[in-house]
Amino acid sequence: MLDRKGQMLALAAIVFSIYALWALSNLRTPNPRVAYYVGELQTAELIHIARLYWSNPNLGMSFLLSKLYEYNESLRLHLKPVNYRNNRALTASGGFYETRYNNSVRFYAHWSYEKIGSYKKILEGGVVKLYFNYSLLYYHNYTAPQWGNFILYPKLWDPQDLADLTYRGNGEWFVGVPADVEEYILFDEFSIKVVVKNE
Amino acid sequence: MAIAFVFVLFTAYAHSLILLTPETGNQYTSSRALAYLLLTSDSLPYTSAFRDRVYEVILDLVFVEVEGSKFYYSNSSEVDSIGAVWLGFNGTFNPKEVVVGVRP
Repeated sequence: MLDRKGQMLALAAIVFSIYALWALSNLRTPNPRVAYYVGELQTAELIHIARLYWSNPNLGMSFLLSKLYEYNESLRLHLKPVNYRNNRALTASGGFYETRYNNSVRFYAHWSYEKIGSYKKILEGGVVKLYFNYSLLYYHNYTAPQWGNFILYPKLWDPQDLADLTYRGNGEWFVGVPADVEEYILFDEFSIKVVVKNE
Repeated sequence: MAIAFVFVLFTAYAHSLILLTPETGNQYTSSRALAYLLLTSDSLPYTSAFRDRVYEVILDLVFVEVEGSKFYYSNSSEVDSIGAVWLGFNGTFNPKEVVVGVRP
């Protein structure tokens, strides 16, 4: 057991050590470090792969998730394992694509439309063709505990370049499609298929 | 007894100082900004506009690294890095690893 003088000396040494440690912490060479933060970014990664999956289901959701987890290691994303359920529907008046994860994160793409009229269009060469005009609503809704609902109105485009697309704002479109086809396929800016069925 | 008490205090202090340094507000903010970019575009890191968009939405940006190619915006003795990955766009699988460096 140290005597009183020895204790004071030890105490002084410890106080000095604290000061030296503090000084060193200010002087140490900083190294880049990856932030340990699990939140919006990790959830956005899940939404991103769900959206990529629906733009091309052949990629496979399990494949995309497994690839994401590979980067989970190298980028230290700190993603926890998740389960998912995919669902889709196509009706005479719209449709949706949905991926629901078991951590309350959900990707949802929805469209609905109704016929509002028809018109005749003069095509190249003077050919007159009947078109059906639709009022169409298209949006994505990304749900997550971190932000609630995140609504996105992706742009639509026509790979065949036959339809008449007019954007009215807030996800609402006028879509004119040739009347002589059973269904007409548009794509959004993420290459997700939007189908309009003629009545 | 007094020495043991002070030693425990010292140990706790040292651990909290070295190991449990809290993340800075800018890490949270930058992480959210990167999430926003990821949510709104699948194709952004495949375009030349990516660096400009990152610069627009992230404060105190030090560097942007895409697939190992690093571009510096400023110098800083302290840098926190935030990583993300874009796995592809328009139905194609083509991963792009992105790291953003910010001032704490």
